[in-house]
Amino acid sequence: MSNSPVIHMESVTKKYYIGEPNELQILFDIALDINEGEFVSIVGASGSGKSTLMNIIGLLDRPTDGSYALSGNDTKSLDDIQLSRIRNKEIGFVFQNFNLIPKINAVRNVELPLLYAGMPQKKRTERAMELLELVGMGDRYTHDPSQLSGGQKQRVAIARAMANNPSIILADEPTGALDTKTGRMVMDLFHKLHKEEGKTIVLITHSPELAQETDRMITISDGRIISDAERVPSLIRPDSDSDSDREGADAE
Amino acid sequence: MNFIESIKMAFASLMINKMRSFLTMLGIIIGISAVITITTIGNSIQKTLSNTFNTLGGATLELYLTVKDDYEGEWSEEEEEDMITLEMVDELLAQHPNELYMSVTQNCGKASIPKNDTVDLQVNMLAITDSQFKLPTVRKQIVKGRAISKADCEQCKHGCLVSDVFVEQYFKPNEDPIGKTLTFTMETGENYHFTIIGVMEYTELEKNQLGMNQIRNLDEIETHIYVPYHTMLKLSGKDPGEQTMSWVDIGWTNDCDVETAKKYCHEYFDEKYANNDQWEVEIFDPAEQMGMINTVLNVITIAISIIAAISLIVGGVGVMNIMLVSILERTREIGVRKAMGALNTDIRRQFVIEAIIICLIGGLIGVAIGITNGFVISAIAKAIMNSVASQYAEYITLTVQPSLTAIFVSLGFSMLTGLAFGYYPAERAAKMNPIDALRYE
Repeated sequence: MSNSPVIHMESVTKKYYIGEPNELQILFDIALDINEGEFVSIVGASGSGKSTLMNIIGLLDRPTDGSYALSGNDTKSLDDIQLSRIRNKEIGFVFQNFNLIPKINAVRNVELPLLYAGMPQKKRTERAMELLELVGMGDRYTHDPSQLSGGQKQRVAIARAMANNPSIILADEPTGALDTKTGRMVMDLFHKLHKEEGKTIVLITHSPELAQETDRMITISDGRIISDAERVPSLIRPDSDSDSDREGADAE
Repeated sequence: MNFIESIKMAFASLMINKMRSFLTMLGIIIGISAVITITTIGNSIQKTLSNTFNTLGGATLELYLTVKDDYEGEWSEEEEEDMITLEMVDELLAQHPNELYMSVTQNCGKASIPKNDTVDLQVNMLAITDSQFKLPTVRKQIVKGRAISKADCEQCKHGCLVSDVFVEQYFKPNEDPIGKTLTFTMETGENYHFTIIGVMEYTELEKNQLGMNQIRNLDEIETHIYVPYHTMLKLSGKDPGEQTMSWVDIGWTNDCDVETAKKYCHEYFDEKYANNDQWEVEIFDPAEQMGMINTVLNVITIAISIIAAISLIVGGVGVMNIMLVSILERTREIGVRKAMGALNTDIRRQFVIEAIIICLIGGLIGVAIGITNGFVISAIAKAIMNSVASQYAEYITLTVQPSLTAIFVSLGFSMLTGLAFGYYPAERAAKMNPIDALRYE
């Protein structure tokens, strides 16, 4: 495993309406390192800036100031096309409202990142089926999103996020639109991906209970990180080597 | 993402909303079908006119004597020795035996044939060459026996063609006319003998012209008898070198075309008349007259087509409108695609191709409708002609000829419409900010 963190942020700030009377600063001086294989949660009340932070991590938005390196590459100098490519290859998005494309079936939805990566149709379908199998949706691949339940949709969305084998999975309130039981199922899936596939997962949530399940909990309030706590080795998941790796990184 | 993927994707998303896609196409369909209908009609009129023209005698070149452009001497009537002779024509034809032929119908005056003691049948003697019955102008059918052959002419045989009407007049029913010899008493008093080698049939129009419907007594009808040209020439005691004509019709076979035929005639007669101070042989091609009519028709067709094409702009605005609505509806989808790594160009291309495909499919449907309209209108025209001017019907072949140029141009134009009116909405989609797009409700 690499020594450099997957996500490395230094004094990142984000302002809107710069230079106008209603100038608004959302993020203040964020410094953040997330290592490969970590399962991190970012917690904060609504309006705390966690979504803005997620957009910046996901390269959908650029910081006003500060530096952000993804997998060791500084993102400041990248143009839109390069950002799109990195989003495509390095980041898997899971949204609260699933954001599956309506009227096209599960396989085609999962194929989407592969399509933009330029993979040929046949290989795309193969890979998509594999992923749907992984998330337990192997029997529903021809279903349209409208024919799937919330939990099923979210599992398809997770399969889609995994498509290009990204460095990080960015999950924005993935259980927010689900009931407790299906939410649980989705969380179990994240744990499975973390444990079995060794995925780096960043979970954005407003629920402290869900955050408790992760290795590390970062709390944001009013645009500042107010706490960054390692979870005490837990009941849910025995320690893996990723923990020692993280400790090494923390020691820097 | 490659081009074919984009096309597939565009088709898929058009299939999702079939009704809307079709309604969007409708503007394009109407525009294109109007253009294709008009050009098909224009083109078909042209084709029909030129076919009819050929049927009615356009398919020969008329060679005639004319005064040379640079002649400065005293004007005088053409002398016997200046005239085109049959010998010349025969020589010209001999040079290009399978390509050119002479088309002659010479009226040799009236003759009478005694039917019985009391009745003499009056006939018109027409001297023709062997090629005469091959001409599209001559729509008479040989119903019995054979037509006048080349050998009949060359060897000056005494064979003749009679008409079905004559057979009715002269022979008893069931009597076989072939091989019977007739005695023709010419107006000059001479008696000629010809043996019937074939029977031809008059067309309805000709029968009308002969007065079949007005004249009660069948025997009063003057029918036509065809005899070999060279035979008549010989009977009149003339040599082909002496037989002069002020004009001659030259036709061409399928092995030749009009331009080559003109070239041959020019080559031959320019040389023949090279030493003649005053006279030369000029060629008149009746088909050239068609050129002017065609030009007028073309101008009208294009003018109306342009007016019809304006409706395409209306259709294009419809496409743009729907594309804008569709893009607004799919804002979230665009956001997702961008988050998944779609480039602006991918998004732009997706929507531009959707617009182009709508227009192209609309265009294809329009072309199909336009061509169908052409056939429908032709069927109606045929029905009208048959009821109003049936006697001419056999001379006029209605041809439906869709204009290929118009089809390609209008398909190209409809694609261009898609591109022009699809680009702005697609550009808007491509420029969307992914964060805002993802949040769009």
